[in-house]
Amino acid sequence: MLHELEFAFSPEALVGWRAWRVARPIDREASALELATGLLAAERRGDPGSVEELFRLRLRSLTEPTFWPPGRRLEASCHAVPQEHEAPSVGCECGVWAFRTSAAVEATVAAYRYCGAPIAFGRVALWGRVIEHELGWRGALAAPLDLFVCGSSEAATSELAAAYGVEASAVVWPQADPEPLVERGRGQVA
Amino acid sequence: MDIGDPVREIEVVPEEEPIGVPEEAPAVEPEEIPA
Repeated sequence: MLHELEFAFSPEALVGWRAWRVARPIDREASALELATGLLAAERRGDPGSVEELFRLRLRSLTEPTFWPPGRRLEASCHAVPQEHEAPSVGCECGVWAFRTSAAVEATVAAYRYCGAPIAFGRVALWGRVIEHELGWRGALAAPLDLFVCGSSEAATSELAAAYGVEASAVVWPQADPEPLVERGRGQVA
Repeated sequence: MDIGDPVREIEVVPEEEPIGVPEEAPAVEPEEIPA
């Protein structure tokens, strides 16, 4: 039962693996209204350089329009209907996802090889409230620890490293593991 | 993406938050990024 999960405490951040898109906020298919609203909100927060920030390379969620903030933790949130709640919640899919193994995230990255955009993957620290799953975690707070960048230049990789204060390497796209395809009866990939 | 079923809830409270310190770096020109 979901409400009978075992509870534990850890004094050290958990470390998992995840992947990101590499993109500039300006590249996002946003309307002029969205951009103007974002800039106005940043100005009201007193964030300096908010226009320049739009043109910087950043890590973005693979599945959500969320950009990871450099030099700060990412705080998960959930706007589920009908009721917003703190993330992660046991009965929801919210929170910052991470896989337990690098092999799992490399298989995900391989599937994005022809998406037309650079993809980064690497280790991520999770802390705060964390829901442990069989193959990974969903956390409330997160920050990247290192990056491997596929489909991008050394210069872009260096920009990401500097932005997030982590080591980053440009690497070739990982190969998809053929095993799951065989298991699904789709034959071996040449 | 599949991480299986939830098995445990963990309250993680590190002494220090593991957040990298950004360095100033010039932005890469857009044409350097392959489509």
